Amino acid sequence: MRFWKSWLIARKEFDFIRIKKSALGISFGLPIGLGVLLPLIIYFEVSRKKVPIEAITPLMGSFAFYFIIIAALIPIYTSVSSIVVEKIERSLEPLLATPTSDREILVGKYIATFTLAIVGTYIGAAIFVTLMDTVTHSSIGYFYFPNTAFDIALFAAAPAASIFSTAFGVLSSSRVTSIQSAQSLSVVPLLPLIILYLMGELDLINLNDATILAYVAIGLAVAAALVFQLSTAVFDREEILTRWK
Amino acid sequence: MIATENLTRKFEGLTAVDGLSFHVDRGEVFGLLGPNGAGKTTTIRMICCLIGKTSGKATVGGFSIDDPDGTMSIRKLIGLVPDNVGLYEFYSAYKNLMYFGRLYETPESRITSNIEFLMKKLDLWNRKDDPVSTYSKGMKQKVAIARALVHDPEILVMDEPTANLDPEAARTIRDTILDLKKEGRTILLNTHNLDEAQRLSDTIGILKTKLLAVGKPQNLEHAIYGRSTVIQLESAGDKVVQAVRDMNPRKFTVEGNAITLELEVPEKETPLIVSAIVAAGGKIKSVNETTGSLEDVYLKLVRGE
Repeated sequence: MRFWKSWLIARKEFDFIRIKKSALGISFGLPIGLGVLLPLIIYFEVSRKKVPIEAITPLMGSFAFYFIIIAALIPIYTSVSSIVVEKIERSLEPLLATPTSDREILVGKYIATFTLAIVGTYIGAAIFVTLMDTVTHSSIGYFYFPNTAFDIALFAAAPAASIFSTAFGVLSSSRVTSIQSAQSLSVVPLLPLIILYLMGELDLINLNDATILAYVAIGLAVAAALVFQLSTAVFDREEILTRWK
Repeated sequence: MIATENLTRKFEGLTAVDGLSFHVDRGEVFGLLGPNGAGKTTTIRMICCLIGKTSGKATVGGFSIDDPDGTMSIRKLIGLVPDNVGLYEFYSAYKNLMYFGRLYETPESRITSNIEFLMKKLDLWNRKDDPVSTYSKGMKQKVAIARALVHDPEILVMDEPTANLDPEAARTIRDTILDLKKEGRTILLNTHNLDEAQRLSDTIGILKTKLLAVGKPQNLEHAIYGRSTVIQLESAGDKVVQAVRDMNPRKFTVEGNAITLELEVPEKETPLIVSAIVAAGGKIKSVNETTGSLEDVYLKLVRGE
């Protein structure tokens, strides 16, 4: 495993994403939009509806979970397209003909997808924290963000969710035989996160709780490690070259 | 440089390549000629270690395609021009070549000098910084050839390099291949273009799942169709025909004033027959040797006639 080769491939992926507006929109537009929209909701609730701040703080806490979902959502598009686009444009064959191992190629794609997802997520989160504290500081009397639960969500669960989603995207795009199937399958990693979020909304679990978020982060990290191993093990260059439509 | 022995590849019960055995010497241009679906691309992919084989053996530069360490060495030895150029359209030609030069682990200084040399040679240098998406098909194909050569490989493998190109672009690519041939590169050329195969190849293999024939283009024509000698006379009278018959040619026919002969060794027999005809009072207008074209050979073999 030569890391410089993976980095070379990652740099090419960055160059590709840089000119791809849809990828940039998903990677940065989505988290930045969320980072602006959520504080606006709180501002509206506190300033206009005069909802007591004590009733708002649980809602604010649960917003952290959105950033875990965003970190998992961004790679669905980028990880699938990084392999699918290579296949459609037939650039995968010359790439596979070079003395580069499957793992080096995949790690390069992981680096690009993960970096983009996490940078986008963190930019959105930074905007979110800044605006949220600006909106709520005078009512609460202290800066609500960052806090332990938010830190765990952002620095442990979000990266794990991103790797999990990236690995799943690579796994699905290298196993199925069409883009549509790859994209449909790649949504699967979002399902457990959405279920967790709904459970939080139904008060079945407390998504503001740092311990629960730590368990979520551990669960996602284990899933990410397993799917990563699986995706590199089943990446079959022959199948991609001969069976893709 | 390349040797295969009973190389076979099956896909879910369908045999794409069946018992293929051939070898390509250093500096030789080997044309693999066959119709669509004949197994040409599958053969190339096995040789380039892109897909595995079902059975048989193949070595490239002495490395076996079965050996995991050998496959990396084989990939370094080969420059591949696939049937579809597969360039990164958002990158300039220069960046495409730079990227692949690095993937092929070529020293940076050599990559830049190779790129400049190749792009100038292929008349691409003036547009080196333009995105590939703005290039014509012919230019893209030239970039694909430059990409295959950027690491200065010993072997060049080309899959239908002139397919879908206009005649002018196709000619430029053929001229480029001829230049590479003059440089002494070992080239494995997949094509279904007979003229291209004949003009560029030292040896031709006709493939239709199995290797139907292999040899020098001229030898293939002779081997499959034989050689005929046509003697045009002022008048093919009985005496002249009898003189020819007395020479015991393998086969001969008389049509009007022309005698067509099939001979074992035309170089030896033709002068003797000409002398016999002259001795019998025949007046010869012309003596020509004819043979089947490569197209005749190809169609005969591929159609199984």
